[in-house]
Amino acid sequence: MSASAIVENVKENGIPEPNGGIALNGSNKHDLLVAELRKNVEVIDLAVGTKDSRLQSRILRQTRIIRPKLTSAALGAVVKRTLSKEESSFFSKYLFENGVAMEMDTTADKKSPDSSASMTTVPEVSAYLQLLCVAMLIDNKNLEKAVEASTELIEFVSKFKSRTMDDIGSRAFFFYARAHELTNNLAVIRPRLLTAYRTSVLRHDPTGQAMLLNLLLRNYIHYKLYDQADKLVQRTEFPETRSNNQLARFMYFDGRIKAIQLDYTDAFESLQQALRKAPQGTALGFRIIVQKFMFIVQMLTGDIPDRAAFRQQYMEKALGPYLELTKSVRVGDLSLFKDVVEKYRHVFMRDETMSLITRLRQNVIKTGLRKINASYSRISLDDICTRLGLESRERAEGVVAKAIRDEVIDAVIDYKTMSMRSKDNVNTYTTVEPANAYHSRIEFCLNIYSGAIRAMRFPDATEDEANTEARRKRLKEEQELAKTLEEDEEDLEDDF
Amino acid sequence: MGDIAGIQSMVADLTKMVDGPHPDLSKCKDLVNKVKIELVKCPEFQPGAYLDNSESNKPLILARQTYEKAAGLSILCQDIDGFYRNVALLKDFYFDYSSILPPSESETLVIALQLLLLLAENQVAKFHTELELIPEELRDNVYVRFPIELEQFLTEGSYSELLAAKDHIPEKSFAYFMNLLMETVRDEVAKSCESAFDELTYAAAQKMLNLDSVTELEQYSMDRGWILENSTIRFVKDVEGLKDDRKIEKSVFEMIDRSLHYAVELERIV
Repeated sequence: MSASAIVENVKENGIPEPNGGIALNGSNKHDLLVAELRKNVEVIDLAVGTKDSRLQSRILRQTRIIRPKLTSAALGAVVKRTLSKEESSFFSKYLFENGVAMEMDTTADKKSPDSSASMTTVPEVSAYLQLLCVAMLIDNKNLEKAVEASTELIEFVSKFKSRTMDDIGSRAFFFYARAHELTNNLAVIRPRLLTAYRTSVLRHDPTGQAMLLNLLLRNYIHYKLYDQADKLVQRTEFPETRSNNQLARFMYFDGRIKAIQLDYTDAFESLQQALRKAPQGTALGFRIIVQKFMFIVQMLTGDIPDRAAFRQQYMEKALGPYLELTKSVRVGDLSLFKDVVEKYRHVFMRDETMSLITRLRQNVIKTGLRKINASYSRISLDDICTRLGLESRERAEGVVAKAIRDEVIDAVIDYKTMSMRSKDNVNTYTTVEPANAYHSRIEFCLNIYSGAIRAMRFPDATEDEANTEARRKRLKEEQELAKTLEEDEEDLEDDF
Repeated sequence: MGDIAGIQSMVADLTKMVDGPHPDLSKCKDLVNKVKIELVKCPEFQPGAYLDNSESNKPLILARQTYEKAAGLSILCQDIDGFYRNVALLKDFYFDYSSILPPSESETLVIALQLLLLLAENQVAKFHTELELIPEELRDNVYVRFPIELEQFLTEGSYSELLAAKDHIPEKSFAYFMNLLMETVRDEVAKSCESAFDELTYAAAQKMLNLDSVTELEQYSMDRGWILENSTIRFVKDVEGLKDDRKIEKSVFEMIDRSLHYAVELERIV
């Protein structure tokens, strides 16, 4: 039975019983979906009425779960029931059924008795349904239309000034940018994103700010405009109240910018944050790419990543090339390093890590040098030359001198005998080093603590708690919210 | 309306003058300014101009050529700020208009020169930011490869290779920036020597620092505060005792600061 036939079926019989005799498996699913969508619409309606942004964001968080199930038939059915004819003009353009635009004649839909009741809908509901429609167009690879539709959607959303539109609006921009990216046309939307960002700052809309900042950064980095991206980060402030996923994205972009500018310590910290803030269950693509950058940045700081990090679940295969790379850096073998880079060149190019990897060359030399320094108390420069595979003694001399200056090794070059003499190792525990390490750990714990305190939410003091009924309802809602928050994996997947 | 033919002949004149032997710099500068004024009059440079046909390409190409020559001219005048300005203008043509303009012959040269200058000024972070913008296929270009290799030598510490590269510049316009780079390299070498050697003979130091004469070497050593004795240079290491005192003082204060900080935080938690 085709989807359109199901619609007919539903139209004629009203809403069938969930397990009624007429419902085949397919139409059963369809009905459930329609029911779910209608419930969401109602909740949004309620959320707008009570100005409860959390309730609304809960619905939006579910978008990820709904998206794969979405059919134009179901969406069409809901649109017909909830929106008036003028409001649904958007859908008659972009909602397709078997390649033909769907007819959106709401007046003909007489079979729905409650349609008149919900005729006066808030614009948020309409925006929500349009959002789903755009998501569906993208999922169905109908990209040309998705670009058009998303443009129309953000124009629609931008018309409203109410705070209740913020969440939907920010997501609208996400799909807008996504559609353009998939059609390889990211550059043209930059002015519009910048204007939208300015507006969201003026309106004190943190959701929009976070989203738009990330979209802009992604946009710049896509074209490798690290200079612009860096300036944007420096001149803006990432909003404090934002979802973790947005923060994870932001940290990732920030890490990449810093890595390009050789600020490896900060880059490593940002990437680490990104990985921590990312949802643990899903968003595998995101976590893998962050992990890759982290390995390289870590090696650039002179550390060798932990072996266990390569064995994470589902990541082992994707991280394979990076494991080999790490091995070659660890042993300090230049020729092995060159071979690995050549072998996986295409992988590194695709991951856009290539330019960072070329910088690893000097680290390979440094680790080699460090090993030599540890094993010999005195060694001639000529021997260093052959061991590191350098061309000339002059070159080795420069390399060693530089390493000593960068405090990679603790040694002295004796010019008369042309040799490198290691200095005695000092006992680390007599220095401030342990105190520093201890300090950074304490600092980390304290930061987590204060972060947790800041993230706590408290019930409104003004709320009338005497009404037990209302209280119970609120508690239930909060539980549901907590549940969705746990499941919240949102659409981080989407970009990676 | 801009007069395309007029501009064209002016640009041709400019090219002849700048590329020719012994260019009259002040004359060239005047001409550049004149061309720039004429270019502004073209409708293609008005805001919102429609730039999508072969007709509108002409003034754009002329403008690009002008700025390329202006960049070359600023090297001749040893005007570094001016060079950066011209390159900033040129980047619009190279990157943003790449879809509507035919590629320029001088593009790689200008990019390479800019990279070299960043290197010479020791702006390594900026160097890498700019490098990211260069597409992979251009990186094998003779001009572009040159600064990329130099950067690798510099971070590795292969100073001898750097000095050798001085005689292999791929184009004569590299020379000025290359000289700037040499000074940067000399300072780098000097810093490395200070920490790596206890003492050096004159001959060795002169070779490493790439200085022409002993007098130059002596002058340079004096500037850096090295001690000269019996044709050897002794590098003044931090006098242990003195420095340690200050170090301990610093770490003591740091320790106090930290402890206070922990106390405040603990107070807040309990």
